[in-house]
Amino acid sequence: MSSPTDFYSILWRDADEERAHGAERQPDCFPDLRLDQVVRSVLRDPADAELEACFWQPLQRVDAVAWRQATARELECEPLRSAVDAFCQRIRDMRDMQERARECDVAPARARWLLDAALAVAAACAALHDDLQRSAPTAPGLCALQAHLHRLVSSEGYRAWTQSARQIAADLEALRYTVQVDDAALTVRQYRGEPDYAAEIARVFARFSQIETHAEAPRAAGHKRIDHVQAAILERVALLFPDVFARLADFAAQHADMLDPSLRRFDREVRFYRAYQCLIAPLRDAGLAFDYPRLDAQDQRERASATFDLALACQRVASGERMVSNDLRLGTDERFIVITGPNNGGKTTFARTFGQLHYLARLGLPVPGQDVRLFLCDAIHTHFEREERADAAHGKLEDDLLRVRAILQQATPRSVVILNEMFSSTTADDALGLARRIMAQLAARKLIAVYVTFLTELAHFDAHTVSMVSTVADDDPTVRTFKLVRRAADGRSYAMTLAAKYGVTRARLLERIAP
Amino acid sequence: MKVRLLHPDRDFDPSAAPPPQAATVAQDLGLDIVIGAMAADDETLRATAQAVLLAATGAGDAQSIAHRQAGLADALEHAQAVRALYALAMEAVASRRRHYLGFELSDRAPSSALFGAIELLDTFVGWMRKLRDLVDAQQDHFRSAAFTGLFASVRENIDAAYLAAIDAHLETLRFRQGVLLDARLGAGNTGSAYRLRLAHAEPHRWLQRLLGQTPPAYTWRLAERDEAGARILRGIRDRGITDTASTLAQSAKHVLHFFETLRAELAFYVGALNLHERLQAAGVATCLPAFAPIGSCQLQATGLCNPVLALCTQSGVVASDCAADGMDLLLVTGANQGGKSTFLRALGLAQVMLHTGLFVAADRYAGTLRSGVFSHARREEDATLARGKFDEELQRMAIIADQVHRGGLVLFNEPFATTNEREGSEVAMQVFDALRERDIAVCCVSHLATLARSLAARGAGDVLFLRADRQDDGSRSFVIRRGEPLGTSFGEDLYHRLFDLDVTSSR
Repeated sequence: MSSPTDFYSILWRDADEERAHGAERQPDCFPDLRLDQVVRSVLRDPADAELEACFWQPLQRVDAVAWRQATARELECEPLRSAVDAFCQRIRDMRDMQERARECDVAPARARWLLDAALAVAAACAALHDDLQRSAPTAPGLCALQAHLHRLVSSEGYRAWTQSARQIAADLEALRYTVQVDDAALTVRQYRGEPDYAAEIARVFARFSQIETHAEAPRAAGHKRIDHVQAAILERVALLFPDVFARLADFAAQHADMLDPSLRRFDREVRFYRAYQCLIAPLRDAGLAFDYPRLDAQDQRERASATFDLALACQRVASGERMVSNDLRLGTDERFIVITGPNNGGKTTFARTFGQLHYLARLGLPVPGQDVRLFLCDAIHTHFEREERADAAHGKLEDDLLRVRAILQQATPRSVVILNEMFSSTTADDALGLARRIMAQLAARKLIAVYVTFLTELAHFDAHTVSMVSTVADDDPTVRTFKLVRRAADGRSYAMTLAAKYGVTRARLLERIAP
Repeated sequence: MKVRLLHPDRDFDPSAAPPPQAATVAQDLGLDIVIGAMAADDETLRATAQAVLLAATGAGDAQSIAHRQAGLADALEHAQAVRALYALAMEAVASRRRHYLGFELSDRAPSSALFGAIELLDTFVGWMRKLRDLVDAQQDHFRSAAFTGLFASVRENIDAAYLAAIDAHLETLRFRQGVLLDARLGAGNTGSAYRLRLAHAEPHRWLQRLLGQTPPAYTWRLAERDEAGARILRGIRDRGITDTASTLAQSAKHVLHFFETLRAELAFYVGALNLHERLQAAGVATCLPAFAPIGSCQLQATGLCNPVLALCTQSGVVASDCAADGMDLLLVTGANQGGKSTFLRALGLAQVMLHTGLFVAADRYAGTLRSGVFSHARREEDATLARGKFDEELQRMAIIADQVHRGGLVLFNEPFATTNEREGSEVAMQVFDALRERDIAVCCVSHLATLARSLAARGAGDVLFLRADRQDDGSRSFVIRRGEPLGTSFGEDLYHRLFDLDVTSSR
């Protein structure tokens, strides 16, 4: 079969783009943003491990992101989504069968594994081709794939090959024979219409089965590799039906490897999209929103509604807990978000969310939230408080400062910087003085930054600063809402307020109890 | 084969999840005592009693209740026969234990599972013969649809010819001459879909052979000492008889399930007989209650008493009358220690026992089926101190609100008393208004004076005020009578009774 080369990849527009994005290791911000956890969850199938590097290579151009978003969007929709999953499953089946053929030394059995592998490839290509025709994709990557597949399945060689494989398989499946099992021998014959005894027994006892039970089927040992008894039976079946087995042997001898290299690559790379989509599907089912962000390489104004920490959401949804989402907005000339408020109120989670949004957006994947619009940054620099290490060469304050210095050296006006609870190991006055200096340096670069701090004075740092506060419940100051807002709310009166909180006022009860 | 002793149209499911409110209602009414009296230390009786009583905190099902009431009338008349049937079902189920190892299939080879099923079915055939004999002897004495239906089903399905046919199949299934299987080529051309076939009887095979007409046959013999081969051969045989072993095991399970269902459903009637004996011994009158459909508002009881109290004290207890047709709110006020809670529980117990299909503890009782019975009673303080008492009360009310619907009944025992009197009354008023607006009946014991006054001031005809009696000397009769709320609950009396020797108590 000829392999057209116009379809390059479903992740990269061409070889040059792919080369420009090489990445050897995980970005530094991954642990702080818990993106390492996210990627581990996405790639929990060991077969997808080789995709890890794709997650280390964020795109650098708005049009490259748009190209991937177009593909990702269409891959989320039926029938294409199921079509692609079915394709990948069939290719996995094919690999599995080829492996079995390699392990098998009984000729008629080995030939059958190869035949079935060929049929899996044929089914995979034909089904994906038909589904692409039907769903008529518009994403350029998918259009190229469609054209490639169309040329492949229309070729004469492919047709003749699939037809002969199908015929042999159908003939084999139609064979029926009996095995008489005695203590130390077995005899193979053609089937001659002997009646089914299990059905007869079922009929006799049917009158008791009006009572429903769930009897488990007894265990019957299955053999993965053909053993010498099964091989002996198979050889005798081949003697009973010599013609079909001769054609099978011919086919296996002539057709060894069957999958086109471009499709082999597609099978691997499309998992980048599908594995991520599988990760977020249960979150969507739990009512959490995802959106393909609009990115801009100049405009620093940003917004996202109902956004959330993807790593935390995966955990909470898996354990059936509620996930709180938050809104985010940076208006004209707003570049600095300072987050204060009670402990464990969701401050760090919000900072992490902010970083995740910017990173995931650059992968061309849907990000947590609705109506998301972001600045296309060149890098995300994070400083999150770390456990103090007993063997550290520096004190904690010094270590903090060294790390921030490194960030300041690397950050450009197009970077995003996220700082979380720095300088906790000094006095408040010292910390405030240091923080103001750092903020001044960041402000001078006009980059976007998020600063989580216990120093409320920083909330009014300059005209570009937005203050956000983690909040508590209106009716109960001991309950944290994990909502971050720009201003606080106030309390109300007691008994009826509590009744209202539990929804047992007259009005609320009438709503709760259906008429 | 159908049992259908508890429902006219379906089997009793002892493992069905009880309604969500069941545990709370059972605790507040003391259903454990009723269950204990029915069980009389028999675990099967206990399981059935528990299941039917807890299920009865859900909606009352008129069909099943009528079915059980008629069956119960039969059972009370022929207690010996019902107990004998129950004993037979018990023994049949117990015989399964002797074949335990032969029967649990999941981790056994099909051939030994098949053997176990054959042995067990052999035993069951014997119990089926005994059951048929017992039914033949008793069938003319029973009148209810429940028992006559069961007897008819047994006679229709179990007869001598059928039992003999089963015996014959059980013999064939011992496979004394090899096994014939058919197969197809599966994955990798390995044989699959092995299925047991009955070999053609071929008396003329020698003739075919003589005429050269034998179909081709290829035989393979196990080499000597090929133990792996022998194991595989047994494996193939096992795969061939898997379906049959499974069918037979399922059949054995079905027969066992029949006896288990029979046992579980008879357990209701035997439990009812036990409870009846205990209440009679305590001098408590019982009657089969009349009932109106869900949504009606009927309640007429004379001589109503609390069977749980009677079972605990083993003596007669005070009976009250209650005429509440058309009332959707019963407010019980009055003296402390005057029998208010006992009366509220008596109402609740009668409702649940009615739903169960049991008799109730009253001389006469005509009530209404409810879509569910709920209870909101005072609780111990939350041990975890996670929230205040009033919070906790509100939360339990919120849970009830999510479960109750039109036609329900909610019992309140001193609700919202954990905040100040005025605020508690306000919350109670709003809750009761909302419930009644949704056609949910309320029975409430309360000391909330503002609540009682507000309700009385409205002068509505659909509220029944009841009051715990207090003699002028301060003693209590424990009888609940009709009466508007008074401004005091006579807590002072209680104080005096406990702290002041000058006041004599009659109790």
